[in-house]
Amino acid sequence: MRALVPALLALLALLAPSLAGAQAMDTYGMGARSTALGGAVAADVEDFSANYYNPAGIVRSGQLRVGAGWFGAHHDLSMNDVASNVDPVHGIVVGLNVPGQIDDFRFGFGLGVHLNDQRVSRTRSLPRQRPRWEFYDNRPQRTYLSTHLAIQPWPWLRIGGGIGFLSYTATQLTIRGAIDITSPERGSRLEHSLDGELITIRFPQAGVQVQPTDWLDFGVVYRGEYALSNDLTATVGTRELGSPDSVVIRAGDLTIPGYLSLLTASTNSYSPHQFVFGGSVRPIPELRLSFDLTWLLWNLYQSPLGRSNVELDIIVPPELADMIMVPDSITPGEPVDAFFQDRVVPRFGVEVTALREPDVRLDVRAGYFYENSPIPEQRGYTNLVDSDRHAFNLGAGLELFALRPLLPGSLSIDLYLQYSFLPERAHRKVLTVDAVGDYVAGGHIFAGGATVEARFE
Amino acid sequence: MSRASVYRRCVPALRLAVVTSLAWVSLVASASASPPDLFGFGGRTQGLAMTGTSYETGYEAVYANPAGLGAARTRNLTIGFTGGGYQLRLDGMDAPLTPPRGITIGFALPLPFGDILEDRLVFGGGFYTPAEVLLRGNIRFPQALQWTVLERAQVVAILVGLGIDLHGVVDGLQIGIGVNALANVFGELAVRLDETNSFSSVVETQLVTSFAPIVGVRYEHPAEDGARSEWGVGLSYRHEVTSSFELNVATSDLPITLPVLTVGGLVQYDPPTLLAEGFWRPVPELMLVLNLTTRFWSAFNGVQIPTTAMGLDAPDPGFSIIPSPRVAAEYHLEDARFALDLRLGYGFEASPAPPARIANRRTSAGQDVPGDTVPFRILDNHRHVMTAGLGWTIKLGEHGEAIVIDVNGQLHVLMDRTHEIGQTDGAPPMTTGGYLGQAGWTIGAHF
Amino acid sequence: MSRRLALVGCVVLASGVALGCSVIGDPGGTPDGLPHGGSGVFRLLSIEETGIVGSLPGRAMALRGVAIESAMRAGDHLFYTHQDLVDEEATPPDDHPEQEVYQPAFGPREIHRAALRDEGVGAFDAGPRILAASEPWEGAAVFDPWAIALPGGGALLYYAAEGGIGVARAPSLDGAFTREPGPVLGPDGGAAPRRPTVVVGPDDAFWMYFDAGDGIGVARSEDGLSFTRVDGLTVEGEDETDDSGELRLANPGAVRVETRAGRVLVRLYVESVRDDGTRLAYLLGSEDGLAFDRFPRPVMEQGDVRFPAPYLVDDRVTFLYANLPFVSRGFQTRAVTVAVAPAGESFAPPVDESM
Repeated sequence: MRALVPALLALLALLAPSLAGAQAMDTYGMGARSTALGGAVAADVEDFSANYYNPAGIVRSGQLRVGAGWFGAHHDLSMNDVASNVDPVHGIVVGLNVPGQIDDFRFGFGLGVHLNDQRVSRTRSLPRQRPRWEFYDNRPQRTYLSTHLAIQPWPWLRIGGGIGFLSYTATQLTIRGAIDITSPERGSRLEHSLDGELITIRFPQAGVQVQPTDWLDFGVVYRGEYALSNDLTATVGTRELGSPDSVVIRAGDLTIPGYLSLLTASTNSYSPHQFVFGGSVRPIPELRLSFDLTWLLWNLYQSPLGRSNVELDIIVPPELADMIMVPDSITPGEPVDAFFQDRVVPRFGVEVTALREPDVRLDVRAGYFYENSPIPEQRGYTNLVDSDRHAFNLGAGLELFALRPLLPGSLSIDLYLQYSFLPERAHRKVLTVDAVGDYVAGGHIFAGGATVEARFE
Repeated sequence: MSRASVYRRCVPALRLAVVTSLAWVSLVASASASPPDLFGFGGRTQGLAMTGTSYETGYEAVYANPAGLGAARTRNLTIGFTGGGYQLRLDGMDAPLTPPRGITIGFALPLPFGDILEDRLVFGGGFYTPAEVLLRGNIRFPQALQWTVLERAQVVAILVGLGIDLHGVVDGLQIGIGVNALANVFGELAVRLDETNSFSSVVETQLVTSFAPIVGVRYEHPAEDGARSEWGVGLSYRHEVTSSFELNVATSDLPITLPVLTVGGLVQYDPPTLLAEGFWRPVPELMLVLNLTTRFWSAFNGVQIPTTAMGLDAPDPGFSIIPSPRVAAEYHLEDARFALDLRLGYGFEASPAPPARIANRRTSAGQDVPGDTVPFRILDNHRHVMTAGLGWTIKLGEHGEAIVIDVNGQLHVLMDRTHEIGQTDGAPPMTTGGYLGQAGWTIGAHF
Repeated sequence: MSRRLALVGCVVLASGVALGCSVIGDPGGTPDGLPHGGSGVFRLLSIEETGIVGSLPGRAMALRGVAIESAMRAGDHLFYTHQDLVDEEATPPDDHPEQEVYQPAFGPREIHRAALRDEGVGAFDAGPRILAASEPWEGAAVFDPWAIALPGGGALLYYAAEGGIGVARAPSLDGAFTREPGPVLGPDGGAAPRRPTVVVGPDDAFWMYFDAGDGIGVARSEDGLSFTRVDGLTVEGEDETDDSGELRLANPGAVRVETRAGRVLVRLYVESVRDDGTRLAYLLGSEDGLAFDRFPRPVMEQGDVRFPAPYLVDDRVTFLYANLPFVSRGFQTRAVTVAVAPAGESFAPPVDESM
């Protein structure tokens, strides 16, 4: 039995999907308790946030847990003391851990959702040289939806995992017809065809929790690498004169054939391999201390700037030379190396039980983590802005036990506040004639949230 | 139950699961999966002619009728694969169309509240993810050949539902609500002078979810403890599901003024659908099902959109409201350790599309433009749908713990159809026909 | 029981509505202003921005029948070389380059000072003469003014004349200038230096860049009055638009830049004299005042840009004053223009939507 059900579950785990990326989770955390502890929970997480922090924790408590909450983050980031107006991130988190037991073998199924307000996801391709907060501008604008399976083959060992599914867009576009430059909206007659795809890619997520004693826990988590690209191929008109797919520009009686071919391909969102090593200790029942170390292999990131190629053919008659200016040549865009460095994130958490009564328990929490910036000083052409980050977290959790018979278990209400300080960082250009020039960037991030979780015995 | 006995029971299930997995993996290159509207959702109901509004109480109910979730009493988690093949014929020649294939995942989770909420609320979810894409959208010129109905096969489906059992109010009555979520892609491409006085572009695309509600009610005649209900009825409504792809291309600071180009269209559309169904068990082992599924295709406005604000749109697709009758039967065999279900079904799916024809273009406001016609080649056929399935339950515990394996297959026979126009301008009228095949399996744990 | 069930139903429904409302797209935020060196590429200010109605875009001063050259801004004043049209009957010979001012038709070159206009941005009203040739070494004309305000108070006005470069002193930029004994920089075996441009360099000394006739020359001074020529000015970088050959660099205009990252840079805007007769404006930059990088493209798209002179509005925005060709009363003259970088920066008055 111990050999077979795990085998079946392993098969299922290989297929358990996670849709969309984890950047928002990486940056802001998931769930009020885990975030308040600075994310240092890989060793012993057992609420619904285990779906992100360590899927092995889904099976830890043996309780059915259903949770929901709200989170929000406000960015007060600036470059040269001018507000960058990075969009806030806010939305809902939902999760559930579903335990199961056949014979004395315990397993569990988990679902975690982080759904941003406003949009499921957003991609942005900016001019290559434009400064942007690489980790905050657009990366958090992505939904996280994961399902995992976990097993507990022995009481001291828990294993969980799944395969993540993500998608990227690839679009092919063809436009034909006539553009009237004397009456563009009214006189133009164009039609188009389009082949658009959200293409699936896969990446693994897995975690282990080891509990040698009641007061000591260890955890290891691996999150796979993925890169999302944003590909667009557009063809406007054709080089064959008289073809039904041609595009012409009309100005009065003049008709000018035109042809444009545009190819852009860029990596819009990248998440590196991540390894998390965590430990948690309870020296006394009222005190929990934890430490996590997350290693993110950012050095494998190749290029944030993609390639582009434009071909443009328009033969302009002399009488329209003043109206239509066609560039002699359009330089193809080439990928630019990122030269990112690995990021090692230490996380600390402390939780103190301030009140313990038969009907109620109150925990207070604090956490801290430090993220070194993997992005080097921007001395060249690119302007991928980032800074180190110190994040300070505070939180509290109230667990109510006296809700029977309606709720045979407990209800927990958790809150947290997070303040992140990004010290000002200077970027000095090698070229003294760089168009963007030297600049400094830094700021603050304020985040907070609350979750409610029902725990059924 | 001894571990040895459980071991013996699990071995065949695991062997089947592994073999079928490998078989599926080997079929990936040629097989494909089907979306819920074309082939149904879930291993059981796909073998029963895509019915389930009245009888289904597992995860499949999130699509068939979320009210059915309310009757679930054990947790279940199911995963499976479906794949299909298209053999479409156009003027006697093969008409290539990418067949679907994908993964099905579902769960039903009774929420174990007490007091008045005891055995009251059941939460369920169903996911279908195509193997290679989450969404594929093709917007073609009106003149191009397009299988608008059958091509809606490459799209993810995310379904969640809540069933509510009204026992104590009316025993056997359940109501349910759910949503079907689909992604819409909106984008802007702005070309303008940037800070360095060079022309540059900013491209921004957003994925925004649209939700289509599903509501349903179901009544199952209460039976004696442990017995199977003799009859039941269900009624369910699924709102239309749309997925749009829209990219606005705006240029400024150019020496000439170009119109704003709007590129995209409706890449996915499932019409509003009303399902009415009843089941009857003349003997406890046999369940007969009668279903009428009505799709309100008349709400379909076509997939194309005008490229410019004052530009012309493709002709009105002219689709009709289509009722589809379905019948199915399930025979149940059971002993102390296993249960076996044999399934058969038949449905008739009439085509909502008029034949390919010469049609008037429309203004962006939807009015026909007299004298401005274009060949409009939407291809579709009436279909006879024959289904079969097999369910095998391995009982593992006394509280409903079990492993359930379902396999199913479908054959859609397209009735030959002659259209008003040919493949190209001036060609003789074209004929279409062919077959669709679909097969799939699921394996689920009840605990 | 029904009421309690209804309550549960309402909660479920409200949750569903809340979930549905939380995924509605919006366009997202845009930065108030992105970092920019303000170094280029420049855009001519519009008529709405300069406020000089009836003129052409970028015009910084409206004068007719006058040739203006080598204008530069210091504080709220524009210093420029002024020549009145004195012989409207004069006819240039056939071999006179059409883009050059025909000097016999105009009076002697003098230095004028204009004050900032009340309306618009970056534009000036014509001002009075503040310096005319009077010393023997100056010959018949003084021209190419470059004024700086001294850190400890007072102002210096550098200018060119036939015998080299001289300097005058005033208590302030709007005060009366008195000549210092000159020239402070004379010919060094070749042509007399022209177009002096002086900045306080990274070493807090006075650095003078000038047109040496065959390129850019440089001299250094501790007090701003006595200069010593310095060798070793180098320029690195390709000219990506090199479709017609560059003959030499000429007529520099310098500015000291203190970046937000704490560096002091010297930027030189120079004319690139091409073999097709055009003059393009280019940017050079240096950390030490001698080793310069070159921006690979012209910083103004116009094809005959003379005497580029930068003026820092703030650490992000730069105005570039320059001379563009202008035909007045049938004669080729020069007009003073003003352009801005970043090009996306706008100074147009907001549209009154209540009207």
